[in-house]
Amino acid sequence: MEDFSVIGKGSKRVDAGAKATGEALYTADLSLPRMLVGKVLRSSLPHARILHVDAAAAEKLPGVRAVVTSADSTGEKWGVFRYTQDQAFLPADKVRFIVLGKGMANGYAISAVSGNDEVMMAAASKLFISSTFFPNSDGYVAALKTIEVLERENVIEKIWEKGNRFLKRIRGIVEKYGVGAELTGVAPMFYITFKRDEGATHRGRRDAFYAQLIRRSIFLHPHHHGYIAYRHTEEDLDRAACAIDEAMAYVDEKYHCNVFDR
Amino acid sequence: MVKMEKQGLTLRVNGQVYEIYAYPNMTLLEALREELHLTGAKESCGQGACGACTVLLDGLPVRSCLLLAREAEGRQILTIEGLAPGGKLHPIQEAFVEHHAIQCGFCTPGMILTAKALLDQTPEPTEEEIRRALAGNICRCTGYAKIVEAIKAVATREK
Repeated sequence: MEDFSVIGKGSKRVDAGAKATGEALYTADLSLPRMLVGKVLRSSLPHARILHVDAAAAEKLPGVRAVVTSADSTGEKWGVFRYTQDQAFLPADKVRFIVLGKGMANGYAISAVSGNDEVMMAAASKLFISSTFFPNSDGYVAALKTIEVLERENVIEKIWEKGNRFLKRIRGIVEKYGVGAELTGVAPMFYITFKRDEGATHRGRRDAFYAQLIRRSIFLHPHHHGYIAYRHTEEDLDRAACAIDEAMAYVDEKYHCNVFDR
Repeated sequence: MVKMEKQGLTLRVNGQVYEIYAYPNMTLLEALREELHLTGAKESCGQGACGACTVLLDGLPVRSCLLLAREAEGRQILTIEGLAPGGKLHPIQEAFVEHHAIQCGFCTPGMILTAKALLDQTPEPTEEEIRRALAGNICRCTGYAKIVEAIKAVATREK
């Protein structure tokens, strides 16, 4: 290989040495004469409409040079990528919370204060923010309510109990007919399949069985589990079991298939 | 309201003795960065989760953002600045540079000091021991593979 000066050779990062010794200066490491310190007040609510930002009290504090709010912005939005430029410098109307795969951010900044560092903590807390929960926190509310109901009504437990009873009954039906049907799954979700045979009649048996169920107003997915719901009544399950029994009887008769072990 | 007053404080950092005046609630990290101007220890999360502020206290890694400066009085404090005093890189620093274990570098001082404490106690750590030792130091960009490789290389070299 030709002798290049860079290609084919390892090279060190030019800044790695300074970073390894702690000499490298980052923004927070800089200290300049008469430097002011900024403090950002972030929304304490995940998703809320901003009704009012009152910076008067913060402005009056000794040592505070400036309080910046959305009123000081041109309204231009930014973002790392062109298609994500949806964040205001400081929002005027609404704060949003972001939920990512890895974690949650602190909410949008509402205002920024600049002044001597010792008064900064106080200044930020003296800014008065009033806001309401924004309507589409519906998703969070609904999720929390669902969990509450699941726990209060013992929903999971009841589904298992109901499912176990139902499955026992279906197993009996499956065993009664020698149509090569198989029942798999667990109580809340079960699946009725048909054993493969050499003549590939299992597809016909499957189609016939599920079609017969639909004729009896019961829909079970031929390629997926069926589910037991909390709202299923004993009557619902009874109707489903009867339909399964009749559909099995139909398949049994149509295919005269008593070839499988009963 | 109790008025807090600044008090005298003696810290032994990187073999030197420093006298500072500080409020009792000043953290060791604040003392190092703001009073002694040793900015190698970084503040990232400020609540003991990330390890960027790691320094060695009597040879053991501590989170300087959670430790009051006062609590470090009379102890030997080592910061990243004390690891290569003459300008010659410590073998761990060298290995980090060579193995590209540094990208933005913000976690690096904490990583290197944590690695030093590990290697001082366990000169030939297994990969699992290295990973366990680094569990409290978060890196957002380099990734841990290069860092682990660098520490392994130091251990092998020293053999």
